[in-house]
Amino acid sequence: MSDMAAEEIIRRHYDAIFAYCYRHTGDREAAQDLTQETFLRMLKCFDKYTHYDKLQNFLYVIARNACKDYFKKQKPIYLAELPLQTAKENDTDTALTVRSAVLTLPFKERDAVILKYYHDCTAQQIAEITGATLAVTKYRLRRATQKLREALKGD
Amino acid sequence: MTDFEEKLALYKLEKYDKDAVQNAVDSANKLLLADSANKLLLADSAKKPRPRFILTQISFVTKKMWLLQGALLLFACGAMLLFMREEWLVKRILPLASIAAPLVILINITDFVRAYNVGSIELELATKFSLQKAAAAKLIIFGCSDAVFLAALSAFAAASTKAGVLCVLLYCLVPFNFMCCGCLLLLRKVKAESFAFSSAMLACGLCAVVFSLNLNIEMYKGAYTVFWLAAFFITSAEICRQMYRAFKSLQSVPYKW
Repeated sequence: MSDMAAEEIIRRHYDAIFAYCYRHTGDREAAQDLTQETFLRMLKCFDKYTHYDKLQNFLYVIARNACKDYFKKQKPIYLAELPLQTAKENDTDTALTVRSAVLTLPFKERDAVILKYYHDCTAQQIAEITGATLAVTKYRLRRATQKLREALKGD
Repeated sequence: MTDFEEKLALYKLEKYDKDAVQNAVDSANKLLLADSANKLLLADSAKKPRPRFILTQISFVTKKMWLLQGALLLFACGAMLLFMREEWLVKRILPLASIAAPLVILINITDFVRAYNVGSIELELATKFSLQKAAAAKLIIFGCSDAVFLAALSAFAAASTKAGVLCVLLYCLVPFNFMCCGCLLLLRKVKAESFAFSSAMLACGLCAVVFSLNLNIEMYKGAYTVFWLAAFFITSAEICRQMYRAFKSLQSVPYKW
């Protein structure tokens, strides 16, 4: 691939991949690193690219794997610490609750929620990105939504 | 947006560093530079489209195109079978074959023009070849499928009219070549969105010309063969010239989605 094509891909998809990584990690620095890592991995493995006409989905697959690797390397985080660690000055209580509710979901469920609600992916697209069946994806979405509704009840 | 979605939207993004994108671009460029030495070693093997590469391109041709081509062939052959029973209609078979020939291009050119005009990086990624090579491979596929189509049509028409196969093939190839020239010209001159419409208009116009010419003069008589041959050679030369120009303009296609 030419460097011009690589630059074009990075500039076009940076925002989407950063948003995806940020919502997985809740950490700006980590999200930036993961986004960069995603594009570098994409350049290294573009021989495996088979998603004709769906480059963004291919990038989500790589970003997903990068996030997975990131969480494997991470030390366990105590759930109670999350809102305190990541609280921002202008965050309302509800915003904090939403943030911690999303971040405390299991990885696969969080992944499905992020792709559906923040990246407007359909269940079929999520299934393709995550490599799960459509039924499993729908189940994960239902379960994650249920958990989030529980967590956000009353806010 | 539902109440639940509104709440989820409260999980807002932080802004990334101003130079984050540039850092990513720089890292990518470094990686590509380091990788270029390895690529140079492989460059020789990638210079020419290999048969396997051309075969993989077949999977990128839409099923709709194959189905339409098959349907057109069946329709043309079926119509000829019907005409065989009516003697007064036999002389209409050759114009029908001539008219059907440009329509073959119309079917597959819309599939080709998308990649040509969009300059899709995805296509390059998926094929691991430059857009130019991918386009060339697709043209080879379309060329082969059209050749099979025209050969079948000519054989059928020749059997129906008891004329020589080569003669019928010539009658099919001339309108076909005219359509090719027109499409290649439109490819460079017309915007992608209006290409399908313009080429459909061209096909209709060409069909009308072929049909009206046949009504006015008996152009399938032996005396006119020289004119057919001349038209064939002129249009073939024009196709070569247009192809050269089309491929040259492929080099300057900007990347856009």
